[in-house]
Amino acid sequence: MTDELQRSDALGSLVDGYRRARVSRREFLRRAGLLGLSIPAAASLLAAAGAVPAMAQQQPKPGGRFTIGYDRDFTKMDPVQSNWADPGYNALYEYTMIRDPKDGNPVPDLAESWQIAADNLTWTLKIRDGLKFQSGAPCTAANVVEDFNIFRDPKQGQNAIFWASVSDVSAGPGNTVVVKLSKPFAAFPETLATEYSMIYNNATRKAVGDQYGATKADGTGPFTLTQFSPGNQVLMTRWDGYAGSIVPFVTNKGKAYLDELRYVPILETAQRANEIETGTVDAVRNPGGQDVDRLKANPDLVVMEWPNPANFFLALDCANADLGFNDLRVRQAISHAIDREGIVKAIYFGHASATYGPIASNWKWYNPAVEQYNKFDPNLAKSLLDQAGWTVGSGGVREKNGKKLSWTNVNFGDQPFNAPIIEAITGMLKDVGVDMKSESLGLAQFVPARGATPPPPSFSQEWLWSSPMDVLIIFGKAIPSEAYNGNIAALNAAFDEWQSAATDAQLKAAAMQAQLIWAQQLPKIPVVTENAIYVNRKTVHGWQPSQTMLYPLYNDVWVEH
Amino acid sequence: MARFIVRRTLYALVLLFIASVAIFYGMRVAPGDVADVMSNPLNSVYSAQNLRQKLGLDKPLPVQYVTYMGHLLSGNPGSSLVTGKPIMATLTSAGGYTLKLALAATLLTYATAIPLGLLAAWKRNSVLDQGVMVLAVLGMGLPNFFLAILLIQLFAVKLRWLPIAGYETPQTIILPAVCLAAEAIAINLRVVRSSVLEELNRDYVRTLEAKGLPEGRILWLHVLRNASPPIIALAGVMLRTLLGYTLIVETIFRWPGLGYQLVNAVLQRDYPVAQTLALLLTLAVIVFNLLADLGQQWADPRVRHQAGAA
Repeated sequence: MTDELQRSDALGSLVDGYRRARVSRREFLRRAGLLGLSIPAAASLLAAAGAVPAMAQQQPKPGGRFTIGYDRDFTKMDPVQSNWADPGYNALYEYTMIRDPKDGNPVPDLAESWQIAADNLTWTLKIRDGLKFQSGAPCTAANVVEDFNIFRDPKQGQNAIFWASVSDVSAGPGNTVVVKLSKPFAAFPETLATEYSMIYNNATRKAVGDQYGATKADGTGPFTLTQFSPGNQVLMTRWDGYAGSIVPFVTNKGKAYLDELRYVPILETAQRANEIETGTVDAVRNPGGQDVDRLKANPDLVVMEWPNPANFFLALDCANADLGFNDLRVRQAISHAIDREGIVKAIYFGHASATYGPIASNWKWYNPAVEQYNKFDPNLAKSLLDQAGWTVGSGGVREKNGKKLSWTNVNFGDQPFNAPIIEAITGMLKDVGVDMKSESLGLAQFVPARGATPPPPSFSQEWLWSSPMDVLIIFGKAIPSEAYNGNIAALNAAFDEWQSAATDAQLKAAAMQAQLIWAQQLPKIPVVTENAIYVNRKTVHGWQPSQTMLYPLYNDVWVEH
Repeated sequence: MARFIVRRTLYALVLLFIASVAIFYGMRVAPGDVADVMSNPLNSVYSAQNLRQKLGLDKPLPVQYVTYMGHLLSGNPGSSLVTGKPIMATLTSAGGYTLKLALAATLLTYATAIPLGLLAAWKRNSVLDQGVMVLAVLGMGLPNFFLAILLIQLFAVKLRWLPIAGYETPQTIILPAVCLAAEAIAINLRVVRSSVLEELNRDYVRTLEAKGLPEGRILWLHVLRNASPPIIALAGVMLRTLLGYTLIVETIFRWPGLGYQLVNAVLQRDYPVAQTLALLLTLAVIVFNLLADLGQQWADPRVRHQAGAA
C-alpha cells in the first residue's frame, strides 16, 4: 500500500471518529495536522464531515491514572543494556532529537538546535539549558557526551554499530555537544532518535549497578519509575520537577497531566480485546486481528492502525551451494512461491501488509518500485527451479545431482505470529516441490542457532525498529555474516552511500536503491509487515501513537476522571 | 513421631542438595545463555562477550555453583540477570500472589470435592451421584486454558459479574482459582466417592446405624475420617499438578504469581531466578509431602503404629 493510501486510510478513520463523536474538534485538527494536512484543509474536511453531536471542547484535566495493556512483558528501563525498549522509555527519558510524526524528520527535544559544519564532518548540538535529571542532578552537555561515548562503545552500547562513523564526542562551549565524524553522516538523527540513544544519568546508573532500570531509573522525562515488576506491572509517577518539553508537536509544554502511568502485560492475545472492552485497561496495543473489526465498531473505543516499522523475513544462506541458495533463481523461486496476501488474510485477519521489498510502505522513503518483484506465482517458481536444475524427484521433492531440496529452517518462536507464518510458508513451498521443515526456538536457543558454525541453511524472524535502514544494514551485512547475505556488491554500495550521505537527498537515493536491489537480489526474502494497532477508550485524550516512533509520548495524555 | 520428622528432614536436605546440582547443571547445559537473551539482535558481538564476562559466565561451572549457593545460603540469592530486579523482591511480591491463589484453589477443591464426593457415595446411583460424576468427567476432560476462556467469556465479558483479569480486588481471584481447582476437584471427587463407598460397606457403619446415630454424624465424623488416608495421600501429588498449571492461569488472568516467573526465567536462561524458584518449588513439594505423610499418620492409627515400630 502506498503512502498516500495509508494516509487516506488514517484520515478516513479520523473522520469516522469525529462523526461518531469519539474525537473532538480540537483533537481532529491536531491529528489531521500530524497526518500532514494544512489547517485550512483540515477545517474543510471537518466541515464536510457534517453535523456531529455537540461535544464540548474539553480542557485537559490534571490527575488520574492511565493504564496501558502491553503486548509483551517488560524489559529493564535501561537505554544501555536491555533486550528490548518498552513504551515506558518515553515516560522516563527523552531523546536529543525526535522524529516528527508528520514527516519523520528530526525535530528538537533535549537538543534545542544543531549545526552541521560545511564539510559535514562536525555536528554541534546545543543542549537546552536548565535541564535536570529526576534525581535532581543537572543534565548538561557533559552528561550527553558521557552517554554518547557509552552508546558508541562496542563493548557497552547496544547500538554501537550505528555510531561507527562517529570518531569523537566532546563537550563544547555554551552547553554544546561536538560530534566529529570520520565521514558525512546525514543519517545521524536516525541513530539519535531511537530508544537506545535516550539520555540518562550515568552517575546514577553506575551507583545502582545491575539493578539500574529495575529499582531505579534516572532520566529527564516527565515521569519517574515507581515500581518495576515484570509479569505484573510497571508504575510511573508524574515528576513535578520536569523542565517541560520543546518538542514542536507536543502541545503541553509543562509537566504531565497524569498522576500515574501504569503498564500491565497482557500476554494472552484474546484478552487484550476483552480488557479494553470491559474497561480493565484504558488503552491496549496489538489486540488479536480477529477482534479488531469488533473494536472498531465499539462506540466507546478509538482504534488506530498502520504498518509497523517491521518485517517478517525468511533468510536463506546465500553461500549455500548444496541447496542452490547461492543461485538467485532459487531464491526468487522460493519468494514467488509465497502467497503473502494469503498470509495477511489467514493469519493476521487482514491487519498486515504483504511486503515485496524489505521496508513497509508507510516509511517516508519507501520505494514503490519493489512491488513489481516477488509476486505470488507458483508457476514462475516452478519454472525458475527447473531452469536452475532442480527437477521434481521422488515424493514430489525437487532434486539436483542426487541432492534433495530439503532442509530445516530455524524460526524465532517467541514472536507470536512467526510459527504460523513459517508453517504456512512450508505448505506453500511444498506445492512447488521444496521441502522446508521448520523448528521454532525461544530466544536463548535461536540466537546461538542463527550464529552457529556452520550456519543454518535458513532462519526466519521479524525485525521491529524505528530506523528501518539501520536495521537493513545490520541484517543485510552483519547477521549472521556478509557471506550468508550474498555479499551483494550493489547492495553494500547502497548501504555505504547511506552511511556516508551528506544530505537528505543522498539518504533518500541510497534508501531507494537499497530497497530495489534487496527486492531483486533477495539477500533475505521479505514476507509481511504486521500492523501496529492501538486502541484506547474515549475517556483517554492526547494519546497519539505515531507511525514514525515505536511508542507515543505521554506529555499530552489526560484521562477523564 | 519425632524420629520420623528428623529422618525426613535429613532426607529433605539431601534431596535439596541433589536438586540444586541437577537444576544448576540442567540450566547450564540448555542451549544458549542469558547473554544471548539480553543481547539485542543489533548488539555487537563484543557487547555479548563483555556481558558474559561481567556476569561471571566465563568462570568454571563448579565455581559458579559455589558462588550461587553461597549467595543463596546467606539469604541473598541476588538479582535477575535479565531485569535486574532483586530476587527476594520477586519472591515476596509474586510469592504472595501464588500462595493466595494456591490456597484459594485448595480450599475450593476440598470444600467442593469432599461434600459432593461424600454425598455422591451416600446417594449412590441417584441423580445427584450421576451429576457429580459428569462434573468430574468435565473437570478432568476440559483443558484449563479452554475452561479459562469459557469462564471469562461468560462471567466477565457477557454477564460482567466478575473481573476479567488482574489482582486488584478480592473478586479477581475467583475465576483463576476455579480454573486452577477444576481438575483437582474432579480427581478428588472421584477419590472421595470411591473411598467413602468402600467405607460405607464396612460393618462399623451398619453398627452405627443400628445404634441410631444420625446419618450426617456417621458420614462426617466416622466414615470421612476413615476414608481420608487416600485423600490425604493424593494431596501431596495434587500440589505438583496445581503448581504446574499456575503458569497458564497466571498468564491468562494476569495473575502476578511465581509460575510465570519460573517458566519465563527458564526460557530466558535467567539463571539465579530460575534456580532459586525451582529450588523453592522442590522445597514446597518436599514439605507438602511431609505434611501429607504426617496427616496420614494422624488419620490412620495403623500407619502411625507402623511408623513407630520402624
